[in-house]
Amino acid sequence: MNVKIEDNSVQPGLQNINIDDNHLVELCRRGDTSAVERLIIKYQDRIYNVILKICGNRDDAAELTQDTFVKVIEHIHGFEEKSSFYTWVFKIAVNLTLNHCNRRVKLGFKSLDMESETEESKSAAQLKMFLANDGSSDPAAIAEMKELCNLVTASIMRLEDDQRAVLVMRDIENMSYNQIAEILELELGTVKSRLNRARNNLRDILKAILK
Amino acid sequence: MTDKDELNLEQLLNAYIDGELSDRQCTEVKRLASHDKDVAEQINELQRYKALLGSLPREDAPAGLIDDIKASLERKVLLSAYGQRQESRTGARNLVMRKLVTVAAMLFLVAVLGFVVFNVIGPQIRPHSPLIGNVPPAKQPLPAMQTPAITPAADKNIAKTFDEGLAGDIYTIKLTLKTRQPVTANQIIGRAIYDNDLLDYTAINRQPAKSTYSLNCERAVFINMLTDIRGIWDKTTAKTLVVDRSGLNPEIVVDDITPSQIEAILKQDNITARAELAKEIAVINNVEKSVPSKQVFAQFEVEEHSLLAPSKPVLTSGKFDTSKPAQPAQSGEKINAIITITGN
Repeated sequence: MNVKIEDNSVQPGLQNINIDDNHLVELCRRGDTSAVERLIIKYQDRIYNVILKICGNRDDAAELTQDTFVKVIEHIHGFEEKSSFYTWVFKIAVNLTLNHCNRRVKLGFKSLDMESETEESKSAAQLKMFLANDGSSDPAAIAEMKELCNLVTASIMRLEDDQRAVLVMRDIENMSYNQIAEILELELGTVKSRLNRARNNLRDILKAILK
Repeated sequence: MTDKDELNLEQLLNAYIDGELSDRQCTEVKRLASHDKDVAEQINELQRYKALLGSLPREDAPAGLIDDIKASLERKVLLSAYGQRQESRTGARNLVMRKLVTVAAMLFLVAVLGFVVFNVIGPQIRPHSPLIGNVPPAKQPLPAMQTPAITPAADKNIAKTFDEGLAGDIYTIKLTLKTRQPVTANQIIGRAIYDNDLLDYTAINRQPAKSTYSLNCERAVFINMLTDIRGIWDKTTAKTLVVDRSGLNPEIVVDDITPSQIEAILKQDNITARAELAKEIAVINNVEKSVPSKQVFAQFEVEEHSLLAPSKPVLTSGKFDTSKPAQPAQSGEKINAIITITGN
């Protein structure tokens, strides 16, 4: 499994290419299709990953990612550069995803891979071990625990949509409170309280599994 | 610690692990954690869960996403162009429809306005009025006599012409009055017919400058009516009576006839007597006409008369006896009287 280094700027593979977003946007406005492709390549994985974590379905995530970039390209002339291009794209993606979640009937999240009873007990054991370990948390080691990852992902899906969105943007995308407030168009205090509730609820969900 | 304080502490600790606090605040939290094991434990737990979430593997976007995005964009462009064409067609259709509706609405408004204006200032259409009502006031210009002929009932046996009367069994007279005031004359006759209940016995034929009233009535009733039409005489320039002679001899024409003379003629019991009297009156009137300064008086007696020695007549001019006889002459005889009013 490939592990992506979290980076708000450029993705691995593109580090040697210092492409200014504003420059790409300008080229896109002029109809430069290659600039459009570069923008999509630059952000498609991150956008897809965030959408997937929020909506919990790969097919829906792919479609929503596609819709996001289509909308970005259609409205690129309306981008006023009041915020960064990345924030603007993210805003479109999150809004589309939350609207999708609101329309969707919640049937109860089934983990991305159907969990068998064996897997459930295994994931619980891994979680217990993880929580009991006072040592440093090795992300790579955590990522190796597939069952644990599925469990956590499933637990995230049990949160309310707005709490889940804040949690994903904060703890998975490492966005600042201000960025989250700008994207979701919330007050800073609302972001803090919502994040607090999300973390408390997730902790309660995971502890309940251990019991 | 209250719930609110606890909440505030949780948010503070969350902000601490997220790096959202200022340096001063961070120092304060570290100091708090060093003095409070629970706070330290909370911070540790928050950091572990955060790390757990942060370590979740990322998934790459599905392959071919760029191609899907391009295809979606192309589809939108094509649909947009088609939609614009449809909209332009629909727009053009809608524009034509709107124009037609506007034109129809304008025509309707014009029609309604025209109807209202016509009703307000258009000529008043009077309902059909009786004979008397058709005559206009004296000061108004004389209208053309265009009233269609009133066809009497077939069984009334009204002779519409003198010849028709002659052909029949009923005694017929023809009175022609020439006047410069035909409207007034018609009005007087119409009134007389109405007052004597002769409407159902009268056929009226109106032509330009000429009106003919054909009456079929009792001799006595007609004699009464003569009193009502005396007012025409001073408006006439010529008055001629044609008397029936039963076809044996040419009819007798009496010029300058007067109502009294007509009455006198009709009061004779038989046709022959009437014809003889009419001849005498014709002679007298001709003499009087040729010598206007002299008045010829002749007396007409009901019982006998003579051409050679005519009796002194009753006054024939000046004063009219407008009074009707107390009782009409006893006669069931029907006569045809054709009165013609002509204009000069």
